Amino acid sequence: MRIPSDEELMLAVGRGDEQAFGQIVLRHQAYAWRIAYRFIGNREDAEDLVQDAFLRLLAAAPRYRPTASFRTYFSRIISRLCLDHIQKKRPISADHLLEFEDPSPLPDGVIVSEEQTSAVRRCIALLPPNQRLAVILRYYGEYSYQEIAIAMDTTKKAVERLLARGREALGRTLKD
Amino acid sequence: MTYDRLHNKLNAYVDHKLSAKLMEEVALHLRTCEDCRKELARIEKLVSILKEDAIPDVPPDLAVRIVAHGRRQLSGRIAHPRRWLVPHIYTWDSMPGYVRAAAAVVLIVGLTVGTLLGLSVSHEGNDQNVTIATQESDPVAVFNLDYFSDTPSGSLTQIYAALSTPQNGVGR
Repeated sequence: MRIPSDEELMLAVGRGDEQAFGQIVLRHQAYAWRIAYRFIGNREDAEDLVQDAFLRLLAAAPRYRPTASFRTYFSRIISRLCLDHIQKKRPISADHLLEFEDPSPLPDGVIVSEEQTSAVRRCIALLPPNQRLAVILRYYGEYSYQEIAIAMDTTKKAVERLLARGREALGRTLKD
Repeated sequence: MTYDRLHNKLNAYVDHKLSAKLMEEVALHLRTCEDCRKELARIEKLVSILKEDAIPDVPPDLAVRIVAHGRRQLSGRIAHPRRWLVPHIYTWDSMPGYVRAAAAVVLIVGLTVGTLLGLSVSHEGNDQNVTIATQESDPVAVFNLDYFSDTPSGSLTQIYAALSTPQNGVGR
């Protein structure tokens, strides 16, 4: 049985197919959650954002045309919601980053202290929104530069600059 | 390539975003520059931290809740199909910041242009009023276009004409 592509599922959602929508959610909730959680920093707001993203996707489904990959299309919705979240003046509390209790064991050979990881997480929360989003899309969403540019409605050069500045700021936490 | 340019390329080098030639140039430089090697190591460590950073698992019931909401939304669409034909009216709060800024700029420019146009029309009207008023108060204006009619009796013009005309009618 052929597995339908994301674009085919999305077209089915546009025709009112509930099961297709369920499939879309199961396939894409993981990275949507990673991006939202790292960007916002707390579980409740991240859940709301992910839910909002999928419901907006559903609302836009009748108008969806597969001109770009679905993942890129969805990332645009997530990015916009993340930036809107900041614009509504919901400050990210760096303390929220210390809430979660599940630091999975690091792969063998990666020598990183938990203190450094916590410092980097706190620093991410303090980055300007655009830098934060670019860094998170790159390293938590594993998007390419081009995909990040589409998601953030900017150019590839701008993404390179955002990533360079973001990494520079984060790198200073490792120097200290 | 200068040292500064090479140093600035380290981020792109880590991401393998440079051309093959530049990758080779940076690699050669790294063999001899300890500062850049340390900087590269720092960037690689940061990238490693970011990639390996643990995120809590997706809440187990999140997909179920989203699908349930979606089902209600779809039911609403099916029961009231016309609702989906109505264009989505964005509230001010739901607009992105750049859209709100653009709308504000358009409003301000429109009001400014409209005000300026209104003022210029108003001034033209006033000028006309001034011209008409000037003409009415100017006693000589009545002669502007009618050079061949007789001057009014007792007028300054008649007096001047009388004084400047010799008695023999021929001139001095």
